[in-house]
Amino acid sequence: MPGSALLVSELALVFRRRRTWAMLAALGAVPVLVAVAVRLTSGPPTGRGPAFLDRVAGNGLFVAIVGMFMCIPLFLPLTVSVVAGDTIAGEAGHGTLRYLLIAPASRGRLLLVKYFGAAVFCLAAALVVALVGVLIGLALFGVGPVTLLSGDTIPLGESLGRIGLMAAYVAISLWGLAAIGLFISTLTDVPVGAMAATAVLSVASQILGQLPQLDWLHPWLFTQHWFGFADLLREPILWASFGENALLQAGYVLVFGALAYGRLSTKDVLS
Amino acid sequence: MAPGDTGLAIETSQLSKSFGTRHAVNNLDLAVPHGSVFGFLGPNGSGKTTTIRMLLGLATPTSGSISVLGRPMPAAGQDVLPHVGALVEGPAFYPFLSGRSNLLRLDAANPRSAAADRRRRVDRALDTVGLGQAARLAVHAYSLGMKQRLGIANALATDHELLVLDEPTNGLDPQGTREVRHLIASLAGAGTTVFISSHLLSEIEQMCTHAAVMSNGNRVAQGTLAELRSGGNGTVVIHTPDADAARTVLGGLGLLPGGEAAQGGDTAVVPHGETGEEGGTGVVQVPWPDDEPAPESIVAALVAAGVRVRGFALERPSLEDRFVELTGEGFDVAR
Amino acid sequence: MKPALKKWMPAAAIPAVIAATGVGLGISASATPQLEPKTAEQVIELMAGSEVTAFSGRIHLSTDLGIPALPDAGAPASFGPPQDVQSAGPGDGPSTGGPGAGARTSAADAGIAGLLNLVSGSHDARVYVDGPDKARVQLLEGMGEKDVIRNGTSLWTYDSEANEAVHTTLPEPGSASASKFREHRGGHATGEAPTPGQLADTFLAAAEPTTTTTVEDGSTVAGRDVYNLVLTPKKSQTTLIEDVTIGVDAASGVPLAVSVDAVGQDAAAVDLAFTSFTPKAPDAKLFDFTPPADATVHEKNLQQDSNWPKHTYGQKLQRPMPSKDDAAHQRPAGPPDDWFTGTGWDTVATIPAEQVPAELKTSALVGQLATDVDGGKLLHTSLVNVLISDDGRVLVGAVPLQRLQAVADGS
Repeated sequence: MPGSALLVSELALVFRRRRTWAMLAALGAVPVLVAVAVRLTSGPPTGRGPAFLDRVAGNGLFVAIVGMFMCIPLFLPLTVSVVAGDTIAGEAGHGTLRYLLIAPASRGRLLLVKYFGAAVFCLAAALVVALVGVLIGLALFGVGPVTLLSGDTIPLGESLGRIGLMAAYVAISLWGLAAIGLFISTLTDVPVGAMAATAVLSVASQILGQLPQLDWLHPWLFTQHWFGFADLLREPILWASFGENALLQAGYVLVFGALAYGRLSTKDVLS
Repeated sequence: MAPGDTGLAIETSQLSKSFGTRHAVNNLDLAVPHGSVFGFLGPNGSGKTTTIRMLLGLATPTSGSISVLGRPMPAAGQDVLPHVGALVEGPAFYPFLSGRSNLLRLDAANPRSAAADRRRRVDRALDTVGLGQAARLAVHAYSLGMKQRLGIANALATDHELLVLDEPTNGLDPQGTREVRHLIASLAGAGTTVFISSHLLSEIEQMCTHAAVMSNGNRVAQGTLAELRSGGNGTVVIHTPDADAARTVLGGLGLLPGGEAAQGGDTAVVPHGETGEEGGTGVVQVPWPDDEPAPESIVAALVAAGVRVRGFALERPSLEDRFVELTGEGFDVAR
Repeated sequence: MKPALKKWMPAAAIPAVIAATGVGLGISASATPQLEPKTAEQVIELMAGSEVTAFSGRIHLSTDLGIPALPDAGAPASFGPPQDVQSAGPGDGPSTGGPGAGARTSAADAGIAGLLNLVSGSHDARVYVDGPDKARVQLLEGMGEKDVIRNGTSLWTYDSEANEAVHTTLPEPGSASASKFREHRGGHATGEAPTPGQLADTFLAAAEPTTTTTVEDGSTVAGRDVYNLVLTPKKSQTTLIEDVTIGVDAASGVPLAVSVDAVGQDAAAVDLAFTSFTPKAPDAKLFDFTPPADATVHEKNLQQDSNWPKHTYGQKLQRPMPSKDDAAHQRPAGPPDDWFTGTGWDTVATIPAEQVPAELKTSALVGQLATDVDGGKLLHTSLVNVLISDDGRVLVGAVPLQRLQAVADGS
């Protein structure tokens, strides 16, 4: 396939950068810190701290879940903003955008490939948090069947499956943000600006989501369902939030993807 | 890519580009013949790079049309660009990737380049520009000249019908410049059309068969180098002690228009410095606008009139004089 | 510039398509379905004759009772320091003095706040029912869940935030206390939201002489066509309730939605509706509950707790809902008939001073929420008014303040 070479090249570009690995390492450090802190303090008082933190000492699998809860509001959006904000602006900043375009990678194809790279990073970031969480949990506390919110207990294998689903939910949650970052990235040749703007939007959207006066707006905020992966810990799984989230994120991807296409394909590449 | 009916590799018509109120390129008509080495000459800021961006579909013209390899740009970019290799406004690479990885990525971006021999072609291109040793070094460790070579290697990784090279010898040492010149000559010998922009006159003079001259967004001249040179007035220079007699004879040949005789600039008896004092020899210079009459008949007429011709020369203006005349600006001859 | 415009087309078209799809779905959802016309009696009959005994679905409850939002209420983790007990009720010295009073008052406040939280805003629940003795209700909260699982004589409640399970063994079916239990057990006692069926029953019982019953245009609930049965209080009734609408599934007769409108309020005061409904038996595994290994498990034996109240649903609606603590520990004996003044929509219940739970008087939260009026303090919601009279009685009714005051003065 002629298009796949650039796709592979894009993944290599994202994952051969030291910056990417530094960010993934930082994300992986979150569950490690959680686990070590719980280990050293013999558990927090129940009802304090992030959801499920009190379950960690009893079952190491909860390290992964707590890790995802802790990363979703800030750390994950920050790293995704860096990657997504860098997509086009970074190429423009290096000057490689013009060489890609005259190679020629058509602007539409380039956008798809760049977005694909960012989307895969989202998945990798979520998986790193989950995987490191499971491993450190296994090392420090041991793992076992997970007690769901509904009070039912599911076997270890299914528990791991649920954690995988949660990681997928988290990754999907970030795809809308990645599309926004892609669009912002087409507006500027300064990658840092695009990264910062994207990160600020992810925080601003969460703040708007906290204001009850704006509840008409809430269903349209891309951060609205970010914490909804708790619904995967019910029995039976409440797929509604998964579906609503996926639909919402797909809407963001389409809208901002189209905006990014409009912008990039009409833009004079002068960098 | 079948060449267009015009037989031109690049053709633009009334091409204009404005950025706000600034007119970067104004009604530009370019005609770059197939197989030519075409120099695109002009001072910095005269619109060369903007034109190249439009040729390659990176920027959209404000008005006018472009045809590259017989197809309209930017509309047919995806069909045209695989046949065009380019270096635009200096090389640009991912500093954290090796030179080789950079070239592999850019080659992968071309949907028509064959994946099977990608590595072989890239390695060959790297060897061609003398970067075989440094190919696996990260680009941030490269010198400006090495990056320039890498940029040229990128343009060479696939066989192209047209090469567009923007300032290809920028940052190269004299040895590198010579190599690039040889490279271009060999490519041209193999039938590739080469479009080179430069602000360096000497470069164009040494490499090109054709040239166009830009000044402030306007094309002020275009043609073969010979045509460009001849576009200026030649001068007949005669060294003789009999300056007055010589002028009389030249006037008889129609080389001394009455109106211009009064102007000191075009025809003058220049007391030839030291030589004049020693031998009493004067220098008579007169314009020779239409290359007529033939030099031998001028000399014959002078001799027949008893003028002691001690020196006779036909001076054509150098391209540099010509371009200064056209653009009203000097060139950085050495940079 | 035409090609450039073309490149922006997707950016314009995609939001337009999304908006059009959204509007289209909205229209089709609010479209009036074509239903065979039915009278009110026929709809009630349809409902009464419903043979659906097994179903699962998701319920959405939204309430707008005009109560100020309590951001911290109901979140035990974020409880502040004990509040000032003395401000609670002037003239009512705290009946439980001593060092423990402050803490107890907060516990009572927590109960009241939790209750207020439950009846304000919106809530989602999943309901699984298979026959009369198998049911599971899951009250869905952001990071938590409260479950009630009944399977035969076994009743579990589970609260994920406290990781606490309570097991109750119900009387054998057929025994006297069992039928009593069933009568009582509308789902109310644990503070769970009632299903639409239970709420509809409630209002139908209270209907007769005071109520106009009509059938309005049908609508769609949970993707199913429903008849809308509307109960409107007659003019003679002085009540805060404008009307009650019950959405009855045209196919199965199951009430799928209930909404209560308050006088002078645009939004429904209570809107309870299925958002999805499947009239099929749920997976039997759902009713087999084993508490988590690490949970705190309490065992409760119902037989010891024999004195269950025997009030009907209609009366219960006009009382403040009992908090969980009340339900568990100090439920008063069934309210005697002489507590009630009037019949139908404007019934007022008067709780004698000695029967009023002490916590209500000392509660700082009640002190905050209540306003001083002639003759006592008023807790006002758009559906129900509660008057705590100066002499310690509590008057409750879905009626305006004036009627409560009149009843208070009259007796």
